[in-house]
Amino acid sequence: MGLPRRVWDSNVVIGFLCGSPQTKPDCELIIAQAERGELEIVVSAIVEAEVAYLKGVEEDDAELKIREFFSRDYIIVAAVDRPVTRLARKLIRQYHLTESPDAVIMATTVHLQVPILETYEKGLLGLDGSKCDPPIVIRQPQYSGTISMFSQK
Amino acid sequence: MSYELTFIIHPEAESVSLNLFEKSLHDIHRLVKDVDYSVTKESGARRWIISHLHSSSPTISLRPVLDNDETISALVDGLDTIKIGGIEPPPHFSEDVLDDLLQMRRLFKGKDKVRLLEFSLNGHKAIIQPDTAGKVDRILRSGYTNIGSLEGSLDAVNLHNNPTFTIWDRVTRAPVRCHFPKNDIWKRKIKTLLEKRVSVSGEINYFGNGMPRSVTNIMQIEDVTPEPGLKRATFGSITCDEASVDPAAFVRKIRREIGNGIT
Repeated sequence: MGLPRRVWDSNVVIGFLCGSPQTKPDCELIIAQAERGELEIVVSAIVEAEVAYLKGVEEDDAELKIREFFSRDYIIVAAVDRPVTRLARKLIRQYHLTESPDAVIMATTVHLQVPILETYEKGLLGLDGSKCDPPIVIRQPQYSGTISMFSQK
Repeated sequence: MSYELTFIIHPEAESVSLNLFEKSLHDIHRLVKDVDYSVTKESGARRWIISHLHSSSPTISLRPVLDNDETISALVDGLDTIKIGGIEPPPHFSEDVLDDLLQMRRLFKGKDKVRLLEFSLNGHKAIIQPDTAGKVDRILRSGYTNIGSLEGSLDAVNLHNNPTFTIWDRVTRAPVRCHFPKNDIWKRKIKTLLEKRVSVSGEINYFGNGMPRSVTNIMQIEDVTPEPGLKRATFGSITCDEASVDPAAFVRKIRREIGNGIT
């Protein structure tokens, strides 16, 4: 059996990389858990493209950091291929999703049978509990595990 | 508890000839080896030993030297799934494993043939019989092809006849056979990439359930081993005030801007 997986939406990755207070402390703790080899984070290839729109930074520096992040062993980049787009089309019609990237990210989760999709997008959070096959949990990033008594840097 | 895989060769005739016995053993060994590789990622090194041997209807029990019950369950459960029919391959039944089953058709042909091969694990039985190959063929014919790429570690290079290597796809964790051109440039290239993380672009052939099964017409292979010395992306290591205030609103905004051609 492989490691447990969860899918991260673009806004979670961007929130983490930009230090959004919203992502603290869960995302840091989830990353630390992944560093310990306890889980894997799946991201759609769309996410890898969308982080390029981060502004107000030195581009070369940001690009190197982004490359480093997506090359980590526990970051699994999933392709947007035909079964995903077919499923995304179905989800757009079924749930009247207005953003096609949201549908692609949700479809990636369902297609790869990853049980959890973590996002800050209200449109997607509202679909938690909707009937997908297999069913998925859609929630904000949530760390589950123990927290060290010693402060982390 | 140590699990055993037991198989019985049921011949069409009253007894099993030495030739049929040898052919059956050869095919079963190949099948076990390929399922084992698919489950454990260990090629060649693992040894299986005979734990029991009965002679009436040749009945042989096997177990791996190193405990790994998953291979045996994968094999017996997988054969059971194939018996039901359908177009999806059972877990760990890679293209290599399905090819092994297809090749076992030869055991059911000619005067000296097998009636059925029975496999069991703790009383759970599964069989390979003459119609198994047809069901496997259906699985192999189903599916679709995309032009795209797969990423994974490069393993098990075979330079004979039509050269292939295997990559362990990072997304599905499945072994995928990749066919590459038969020339020295490619051979050298593939050898240097052994055990590295690579990205392979070409025609990706998938089973009906979306599991990749092989890559043909490879256009490019690239070493994507993480680069040492890259600056680490930690929490807040990229400064973008707008994105840090409300990442969801930021993403919505950039998508709208892309849609309107403003970036």
